[in-house]
Amino acid sequence: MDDTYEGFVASRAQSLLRYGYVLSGNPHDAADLVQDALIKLRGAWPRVINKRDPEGYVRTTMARQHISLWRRTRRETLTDLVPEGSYTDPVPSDDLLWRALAELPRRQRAVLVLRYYEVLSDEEIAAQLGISRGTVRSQASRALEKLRRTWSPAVMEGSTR
Amino acid sequence: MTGQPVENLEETLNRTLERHAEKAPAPASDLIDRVETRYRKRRRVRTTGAAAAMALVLSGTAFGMWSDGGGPTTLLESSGTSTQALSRPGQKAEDPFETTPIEKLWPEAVHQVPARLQDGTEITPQALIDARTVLVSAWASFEKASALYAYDLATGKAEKITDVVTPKGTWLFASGFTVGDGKILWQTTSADRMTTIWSVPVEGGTPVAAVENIPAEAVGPAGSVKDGATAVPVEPSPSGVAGLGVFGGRVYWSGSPNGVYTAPLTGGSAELVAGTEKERLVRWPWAGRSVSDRTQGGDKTKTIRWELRNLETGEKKPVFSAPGGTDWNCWITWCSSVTENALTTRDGSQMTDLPGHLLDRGVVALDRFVLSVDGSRNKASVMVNDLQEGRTGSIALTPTDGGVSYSVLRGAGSRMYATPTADGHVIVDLEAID
Repeated sequence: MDDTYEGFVASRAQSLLRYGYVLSGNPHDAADLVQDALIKLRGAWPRVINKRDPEGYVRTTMARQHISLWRRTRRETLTDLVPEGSYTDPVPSDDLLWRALAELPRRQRAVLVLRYYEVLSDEEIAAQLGISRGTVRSQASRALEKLRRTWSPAVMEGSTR
Repeated sequence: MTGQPVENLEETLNRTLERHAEKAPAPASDLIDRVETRYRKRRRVRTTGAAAAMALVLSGTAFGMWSDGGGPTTLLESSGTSTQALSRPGQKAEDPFETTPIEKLWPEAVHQVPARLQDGTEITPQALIDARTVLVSAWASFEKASALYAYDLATGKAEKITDVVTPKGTWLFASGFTVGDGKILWQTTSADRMTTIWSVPVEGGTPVAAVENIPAEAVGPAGSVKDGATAVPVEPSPSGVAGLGVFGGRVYWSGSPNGVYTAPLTGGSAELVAGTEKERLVRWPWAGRSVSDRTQGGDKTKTIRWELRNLETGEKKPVFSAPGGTDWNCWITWCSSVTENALTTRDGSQMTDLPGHLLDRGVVALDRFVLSVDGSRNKASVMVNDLQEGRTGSIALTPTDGGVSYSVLRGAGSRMYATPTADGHVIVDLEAID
């Protein structure tokens, strides 16, 4: 691993933006989440690199920030990373599931992203979000139930009822 | 739709997320410079003390048994895989809390209780009877209290107070032990989901049922926001009795899913405290409720407001608001969020950084003390944080095969914090701290 902060940012920024994007569903929030987490990492770098898991630290920070209160109250001031005019609806018209994800409360979406994008166990998700394993399970099951209501295999390509 | 295997949705979710991840924006070419500029700017703000940012510290998974039980134990476990290994940035340099071993910080308030009595009986501390006597229970089997003892901290001797009989078909064993007005109280729930509150004098005697036939709640969390309830329970309990306490000759508790109930300590039927249908007891006489404001016509909760009032004087505390979907809990002066790892006063005038990560529901006991945990699978500490004085006493935990175990605070009225150590239990008398 590149042990410098700059090296970490250079090599991981794109991957972190992808993570931020699936967490939040839009490029502005993705950029904000990454920038904010990197600022935090900048201050904590000597301690974090010592524990050899800066990526885990950043991803945890992003997930928690995303579902937290304070972030939402100050998001407006942190959108300068995305070039102007870059945002157009990124949702392909045929992807009902992506649209349905946007309707979920943040915490439920975060649990699904950690489970099905990061492929973490419920225990790992609980640790990452700082909630109990029971809450992870209940949030995931509520979220899946909601998705099932709007999404059915019959309307997906190649699926039949 | 029904009958489709769950895997279909889950597999599609994985594909959808991966496909959309590719649409993420590219990093700005000057990202490093931007971050550096922002970092320096924030640091300037921080060092002038103008803004207290939240500590974001990754802790292990806290596995709680339902929180109303007899000294719920949580386990701190590592997250397991190499890429998501426990990462602990620790506390910030500006952390206002200074950590000291608890017995050095508050020697007058910290005591040791052995794991077993002299006759080998295994004991668990339940509550403080007074400054030198601990109510301890002896277990017949897991979670089944068979006897209560008064353990004298000065002499190390224990005297039996009473036997706790567990009737056949008991669903929830004796739990929620509390002491007040010379009585020890606890509750049990029968197989037909009726809860009984028991009482015995602290000097000993035969337990009597002070209140009987309190309906336990239906299985599942009470009053969730989703079903349109206006009140979210502060402290849900499957027994239908939460936050049991004794004040001025009466027993008080929160019912299921809401409502503050009371009965005479001498025995009698439960009655609702007038006007508390949607409230829950935080700590007598304070009762609170949380109100969800919904978006027009939608089922999304826009904001949640936490209200608190004094049932005796009618005094109201400032209302705390947070966006829907967040996990804040409000106590008396303070509100806490475990997800955010944050504490703030209701009026928002004070926020505070704690060492480590908030425990359980971020319970603030006696309007002053809150627990956090920090460390790793092999070396972890529980920290008792004094919000009034900005001091932190740490308790080193003993790792076992499954991680480390520690207890959480029962509620906002808890006078005692007790947690297992290598050779017994450490007890903190929160009221003995100046």
